[in-house]
Amino acid sequence: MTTAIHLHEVTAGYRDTPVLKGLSLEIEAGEMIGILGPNGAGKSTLFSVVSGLLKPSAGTVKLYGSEIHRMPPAERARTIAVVPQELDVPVPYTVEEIVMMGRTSAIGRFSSPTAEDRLRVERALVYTDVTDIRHRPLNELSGGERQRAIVAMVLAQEPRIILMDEATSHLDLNHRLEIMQLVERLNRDDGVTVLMISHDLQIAAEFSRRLILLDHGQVVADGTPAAVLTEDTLRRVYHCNVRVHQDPHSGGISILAAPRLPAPGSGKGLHIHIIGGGGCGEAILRRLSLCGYTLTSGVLNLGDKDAEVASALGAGTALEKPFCPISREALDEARKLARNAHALIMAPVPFGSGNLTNFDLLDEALTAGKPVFIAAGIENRDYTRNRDAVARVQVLLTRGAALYQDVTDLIPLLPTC
Amino acid sequence: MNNRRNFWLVIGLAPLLLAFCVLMGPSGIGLPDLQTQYDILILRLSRVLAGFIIGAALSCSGVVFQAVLRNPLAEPYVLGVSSGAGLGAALAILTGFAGISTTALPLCAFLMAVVTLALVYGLSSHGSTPSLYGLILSGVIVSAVCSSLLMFIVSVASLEGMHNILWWMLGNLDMPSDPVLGLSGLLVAAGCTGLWIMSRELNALTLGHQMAHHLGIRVKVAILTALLLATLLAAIAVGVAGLIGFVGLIVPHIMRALVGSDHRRLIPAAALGGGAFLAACDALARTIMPVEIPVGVITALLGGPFFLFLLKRHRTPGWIG
Amino acid sequence: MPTKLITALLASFLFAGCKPAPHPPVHAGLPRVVSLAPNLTEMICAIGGTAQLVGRSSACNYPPDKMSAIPIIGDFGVPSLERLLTAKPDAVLYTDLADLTLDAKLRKIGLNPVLIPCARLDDIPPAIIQLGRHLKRESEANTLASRLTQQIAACRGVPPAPHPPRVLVLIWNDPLTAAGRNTFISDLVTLAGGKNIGDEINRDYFPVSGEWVLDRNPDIIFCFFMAGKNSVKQQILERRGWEHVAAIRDGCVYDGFDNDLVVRPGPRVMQGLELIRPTILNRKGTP
Repeated sequence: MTTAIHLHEVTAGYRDTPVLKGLSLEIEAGEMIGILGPNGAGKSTLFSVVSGLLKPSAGTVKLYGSEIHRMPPAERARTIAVVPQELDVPVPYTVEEIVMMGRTSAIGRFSSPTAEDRLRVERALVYTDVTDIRHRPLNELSGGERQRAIVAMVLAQEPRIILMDEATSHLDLNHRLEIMQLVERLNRDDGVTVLMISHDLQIAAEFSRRLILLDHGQVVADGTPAAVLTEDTLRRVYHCNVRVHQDPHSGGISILAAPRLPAPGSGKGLHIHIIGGGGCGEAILRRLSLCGYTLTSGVLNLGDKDAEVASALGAGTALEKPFCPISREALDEARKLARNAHALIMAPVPFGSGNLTNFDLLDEALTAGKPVFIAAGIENRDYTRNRDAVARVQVLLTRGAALYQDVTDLIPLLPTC
Repeated sequence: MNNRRNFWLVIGLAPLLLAFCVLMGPSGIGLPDLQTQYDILILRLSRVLAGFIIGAALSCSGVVFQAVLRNPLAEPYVLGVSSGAGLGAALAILTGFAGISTTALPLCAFLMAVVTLALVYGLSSHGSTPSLYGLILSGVIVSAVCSSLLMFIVSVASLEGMHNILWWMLGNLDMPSDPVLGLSGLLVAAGCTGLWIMSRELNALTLGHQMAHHLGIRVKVAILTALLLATLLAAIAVGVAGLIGFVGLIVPHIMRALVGSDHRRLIPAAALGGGAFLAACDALARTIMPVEIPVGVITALLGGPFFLFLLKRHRTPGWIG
Repeated sequence: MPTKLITALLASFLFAGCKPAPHPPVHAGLPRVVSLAPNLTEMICAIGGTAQLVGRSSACNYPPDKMSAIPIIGDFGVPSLERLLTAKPDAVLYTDLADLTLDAKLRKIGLNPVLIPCARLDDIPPAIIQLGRHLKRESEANTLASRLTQQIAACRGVPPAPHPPRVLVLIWNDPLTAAGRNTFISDLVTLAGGKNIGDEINRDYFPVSGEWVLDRNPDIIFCFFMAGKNSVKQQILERRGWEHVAAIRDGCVYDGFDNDLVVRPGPRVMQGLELIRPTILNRKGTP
């Protein structure tokens, strides 16, 4: 087997913020691979780097053994082609003209298309079933027809690697499958290596034999669909609960986003007090506000990130002066807020001696018989001298407080009306 | 195919139209008597030739700007060439340099146009190749500055100087001197040929710069070469004939509607068709009234309705074809 | 469809032209000339050269009865080269040209362009003499020129008033444009015994601001322009902020002149002078 695409320690992205961080990847010729990942994971940057649009700031990208940036453009075009999500053609080219552009680098500057060029174009037209509309201007066609014409252009280019950049995401179910089957056939019959970015996990699982899951510019999982698309992995990367079913008959995988949030407004009339600080409570505040809970928070220091978010969301907040330990007055104010709450949440906030008194609020809530939720992993956030925070959490847990991992599993635990 | 037939129609009719233009003139329609009016024939020939060269330059330039900038409103003066050339001409007129020889004014206008281009390019590139939007933006800015300087010059000029500058800005094709005509003819022919050779790059660039890259084009080199050639063509046109509007905007659209968007056909069609169009407009401008009308008036009056007719027929906003 | 349009375009050419201009008869042996400026045309006719004039500009309008017979060659200073070649003159006479390079172009096609400088009052007699030479009408020209010279000298001989009235001459209203030092109009005002307040500006014509006029406080305002059907005088009188300008206050704003007499440096200059002279002489200047 030859290596079609080889990335070694590639760092690339914008001037100051790299999107890909030391990414290494090896793809064999003839593979059909789905590239998955949440928004901003680096999928498009990966494609830009592989197609030579973007020069990595570090690392090497090799296609069939030669470095992409050293390749003459014509050779590059014979090696790799891209089917974009959408091609905006402002000028009224006909389908045939568009497909002929796939031969751009094959036809000499001073010569006209040869019989062979015409044959390839003809074949691509037939293959993608656009012969009937060959003389129609591209910009008059429907989305599916247009995308087929662009695939035809890429076919006429005869590349050894095809990158599909969400190429089917604007298409309806029928056309989506049609295009995918076309590409699959190319992969099977002609040994073309195919990489596709897709947000449709199901399609990706169905058509690729290998999936690569990216997050934060790095490979998080790489393997067969069954190995990559696990509930655990997906939850970690997409930050939401999913259910993965493997069909016992076909072996196909279906992925369902599990009901993640209670219905909007489910928290109406319920009051929750959140103890946060330093931005760790931001996500909780935002999500709970979407659910319609009445929120309060504190004690927070004035100017704290969470304090800003809370005030933006209209949540009442007990405030302390910046950089000061919590005073008795501030605590009393928070106590007033917490007393009206139906439940208390402690965000994954780091503890020092200054904000330790916030635990008093939780103590009192438990005494009053209210549910209390504490972010897991206090061991890593306790900066007090005698590990006081850890000790206090342990006490709270024995008294009936619940631990939670992240916002996603916190929400189902909360009381609803 | 319609496009191909129209292409040969344009190629065939252009020389006919040019020949027709030679028969037209304020002294009467028809071939001048070769014995007694030989000089009139020469005069008409030189003017038709000038119209053809300028028309070809502006049309080709317009085709390229619209393709590379992927904008139907782009035209040859988009990078500020016209204002730069105008400033050059005004300076030449004001300093009296223009009076020295018939070559001085076109030369000044052309040189200032080139200086403007260099300035626009320099402003938009921060040590690397400039982005398209950077180019357009600095083009607009440099153009605005040049225009205000031009306004200033006009405001302090004497009545006669002002008259001269305004006359130049209206644009006319009256008998450029032989070296100017010859040289500009050669340069325009070279420029148009160069752009024709770049047809496949231009075709690919209209699909967007990323797609052009994927199709195996050296995108940056191609864009810069194409814009440079197109701007030089515009600079030559402005230098020789002043500001003749509308040709560079309308002829590309008309030709695209007639022969299609493939630059292999579009560029020669624009060169021949645009040349013939301007020569014909000029022939009308000097014939229909006892006093000559600025040729830009005719190009707009003839081209505008024709353009609207095509637009109505195709119903595609912005681009037609 | 495009084919039809192109046919229509070609057809339009056929009907577009006009007939070649008729050639007026010319006395054998005498030079034939084309005049590109109305003042030159007037001078040529004044020295009896009308028959030698084989072309004129569209602005030439005097003497009116002679003009219809002379073919139009182009606009003031903007001739059509082809019409010039058709007229085949021995000289093309002009005072200024729109296209700076036109002189050279005319020479190149075998024509003989002649610049007759005629911007100032004192240019007029020499210009007439020069025209006389080109038309071979020296005696008529010399007679006219010396008569004009004497008339001008006679006017200059009148001792100036101790406080000549300050005169503002407006030649356009939007923007308000006045005659400066280097103009025929300034000469005319001075000759009539006035003081052109625009003289302090070393230009021909210049845009004036309302404030400048207030400050210079002219005693007389002449309006040498038309502004549609409205009374020019009324516009000036009603101008805001000028209520205290001497000319406005005393109602010394004048319009309705035959502008061809007062702005055209031609043989009828003394008639132009007589249009403004009484007004200036009757107005007492303030120190």
